[in-house]
Amino acid sequence: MPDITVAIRDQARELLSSGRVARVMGYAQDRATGLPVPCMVRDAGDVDRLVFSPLCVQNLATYLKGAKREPTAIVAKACDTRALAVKLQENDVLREDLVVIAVGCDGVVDPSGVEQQVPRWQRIEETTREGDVLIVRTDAGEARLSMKADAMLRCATCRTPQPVIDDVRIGEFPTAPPEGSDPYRTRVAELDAMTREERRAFFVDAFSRCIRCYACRNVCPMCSCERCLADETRPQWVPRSTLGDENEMFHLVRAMHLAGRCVECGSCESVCPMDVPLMALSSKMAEEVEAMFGQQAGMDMEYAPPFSRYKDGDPDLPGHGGEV
Amino acid sequence: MEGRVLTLSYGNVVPWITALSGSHTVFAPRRSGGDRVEFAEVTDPSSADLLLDTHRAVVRHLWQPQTEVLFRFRRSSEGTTIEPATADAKPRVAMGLSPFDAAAIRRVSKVMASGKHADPRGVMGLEMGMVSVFGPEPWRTCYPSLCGCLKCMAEEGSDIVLTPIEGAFVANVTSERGERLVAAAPGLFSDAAEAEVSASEDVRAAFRKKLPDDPFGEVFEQSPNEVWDCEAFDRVAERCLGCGICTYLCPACHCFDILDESRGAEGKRYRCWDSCQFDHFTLHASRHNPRPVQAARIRQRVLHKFMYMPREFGVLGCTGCGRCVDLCPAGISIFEVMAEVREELNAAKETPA
Amino acid sequence: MSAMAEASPYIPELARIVDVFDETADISTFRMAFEDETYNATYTFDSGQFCEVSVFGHGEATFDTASSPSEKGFIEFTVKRVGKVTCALHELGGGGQVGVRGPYGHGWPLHEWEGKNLIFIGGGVGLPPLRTCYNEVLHPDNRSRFGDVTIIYGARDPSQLVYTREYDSYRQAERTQLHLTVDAGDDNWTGKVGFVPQLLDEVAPSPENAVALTVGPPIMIKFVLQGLSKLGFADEQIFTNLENRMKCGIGKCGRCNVGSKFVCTDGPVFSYAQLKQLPMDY
Repeated sequence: MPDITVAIRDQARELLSSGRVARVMGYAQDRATGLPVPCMVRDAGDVDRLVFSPLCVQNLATYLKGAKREPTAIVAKACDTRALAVKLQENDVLREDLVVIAVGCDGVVDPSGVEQQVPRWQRIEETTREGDVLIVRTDAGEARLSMKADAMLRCATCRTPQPVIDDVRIGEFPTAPPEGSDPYRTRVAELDAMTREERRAFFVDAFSRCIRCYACRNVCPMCSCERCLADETRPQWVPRSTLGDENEMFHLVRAMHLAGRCVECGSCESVCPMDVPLMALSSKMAEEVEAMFGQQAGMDMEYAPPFSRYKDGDPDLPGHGGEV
Repeated sequence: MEGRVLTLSYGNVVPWITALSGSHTVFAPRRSGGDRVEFAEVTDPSSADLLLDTHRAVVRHLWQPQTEVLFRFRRSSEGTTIEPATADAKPRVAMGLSPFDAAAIRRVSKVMASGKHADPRGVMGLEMGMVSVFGPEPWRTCYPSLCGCLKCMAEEGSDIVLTPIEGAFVANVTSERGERLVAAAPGLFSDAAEAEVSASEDVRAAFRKKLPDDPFGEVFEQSPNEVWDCEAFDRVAERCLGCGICTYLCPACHCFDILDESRGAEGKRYRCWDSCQFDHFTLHASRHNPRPVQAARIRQRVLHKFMYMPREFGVLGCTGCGRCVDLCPAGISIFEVMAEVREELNAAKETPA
Repeated sequence: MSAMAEASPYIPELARIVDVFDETADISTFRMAFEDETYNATYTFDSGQFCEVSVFGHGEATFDTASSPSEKGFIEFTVKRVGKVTCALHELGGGGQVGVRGPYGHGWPLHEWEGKNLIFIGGGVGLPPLRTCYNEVLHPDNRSRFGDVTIIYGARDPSQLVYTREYDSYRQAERTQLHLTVDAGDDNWTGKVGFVPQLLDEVAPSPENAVALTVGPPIMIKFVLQGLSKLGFADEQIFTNLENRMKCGIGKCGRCNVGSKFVCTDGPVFSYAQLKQLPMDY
């Protein structure tokens, strides 16, 4: 049993039995597939459900939505703590209601890599590390995934080897970010290099696939409005139709609402069933905000998202030098 | 399977699609960038590929478009004029579906076309030609007892079932409509030789053998109230995001919304996909919501497919394609939920009251 | 019916608002007549059915029929301003053109109730789907076929009572009683004060050869059902009109699915016996 899993369970047991938290948000092995899936543990006797492995790709911060206050412990990779930071800064969750169990991580691996090597797998039995290789033993054979080549896209240039916020630290935290280029920002650069017409064609094609399932919005930790503008009917700000430019409208509005708040976790794009390159928009917005305000969302507890507060000297104000 | 058995060499597929395009609106799978496969209206027959893996492709739009204009209207001092949207000019044929997708589409179309008022898209779904492709591999997440008796299911929706063998498809023409599709280019087909028929049977047998063991079972025999408070729904609701992936990728789903859009004196009424998983699906104007929590909405999806539809229409609302399982961001399996509900009910029976 | 509407069940018939009666500050009764005179002259519906009414550009909403089918040449809907379409309808007002689809659903099974005493128990804006029935029963063409009529009705306060303009006619009608209450009175109110279930207990109608119809807010229904049970009404003698969120009205869009039924096609009228078979999904 990997030490990290044991340590997480110990922490969870302690926090639940002492009454410090009402629930622990973590990962559990799905009964049928053995894949790690998000889980809520409310009983100290239940903590053995919790696991951790490089297949724990989901950002659990997205489950901290809703008005109900409940002291919660959350298992968070360092990148997930960025989302937690923004949620704390925006008062989505109160500091006293959150215990951050930061787990050391040197990357998580896209589970779809298992299917590529073992097309008929039904159940994952065990995952073990051998250096940079993640060995996934399934009922139908073994998959060997590279912690580099098969990692989730955001892991290529992890900007948070250390958590932004934590109450408990479990495992080893890398000291320096990996070298390499950020695939999302690289794609933004490629799009910037296109002509307007080429870029327009790219996005028109991308949005034409969107079926408005709202998985991108619902999985996003930052999309927590109780009533999303897209669901409003009085007025119908964003029509539900997909025949014209309504899809584009929805995604552009969402990108604008995420400006300065998106932590570039990539969940939106990875859950999209239609392969819409959503991070192209969010990364572009993040890049613009970074250039204008010199900060990235959730990287510093002292620095709240720029559009959620007003400061004299903000670069986008007239007379302060920032041209919008 | 009943009906004629023919062969269609792989080289003759594109010519056949070309011939069909003259008299039909043809939908077939094609690559659409990266790993993506989509079912799209064929504009270039050479880009259609019936052997593409469609297990992640949307198929609902084959009978029910995501968005469909119902009518346009114009208001003036003389009153309102209504202009209904025009129907497809040519009959539709969908090719390259899995046999269980074809079965699902036929089933949901039948439900939509039934009753006192027939839905025009439901009617179209009943009448459209479907040419399915059998395997060669079942998808990782598909479930056999729901794929059912594959022989029956193959005939349930498909007009022609294509089974890939060496160099050609063996085509089982299972309906008169299938015969009419063949008649678009009869010269491209030949009678299947015994060896070819036998090879196709082997492919289908191998397909069945590869299907995983199914522990999940089928229809719920209980009444809704007996399963209403099962904790299985609450447990899985904890991680459900309430998005529409499961329902929108499902070949058997059909819920939709109806909305108006206007600018000045002109406008249109359209309908578009909707999902019982969205939190406002059953929200009343009075703010009362009969399904106020995600557990209630998940319960609705499970019971609608495996209890209500069988009861009301005599068919399962699921053919086990497994897209919802494969694509759920939270790793939720509708089959797993059913298994847990059954376990809970069995455990309750064994515990003395 | 227009050829268009024959081709697709989603195309409405054009109708005009020929009169508007303001019942309260935010509730009005809209009297509508179809533009096509032949269609209007031959149009029929059962009391308790509903229609989908369009305010073009704003959308379509579900309204219970509120007038007696025996009153020919028009159909009435009593509508409260709550949302996008209802507000637009109020803004449109008299003379405005709308679309109407329907009638849909199963209405009150009046043909099964001939000779019986009918007790109507309504709350707030729940009275309209009852009025379509009792006005039908009280209509001179029909009155002799039914027994005594008792109307028990209440609202939050006197300003919320609907159809006040008709109360005298109810009181004067043959073998008809009207009992009113409000949750809270005002300076001018001299009538009863209390909740509808309390008034039901006081009136204590007999279940003998009787049928009770009740429509109102869920909390009122709950206590009314208890009250009727206590009075000895069997589940088969009690009827209600479910008002789930509906869209297509014809059992296709899935919204009003309750158990294996659709409120729009199997209802909206259900007996309490039938309701008990359904899951609590409404």
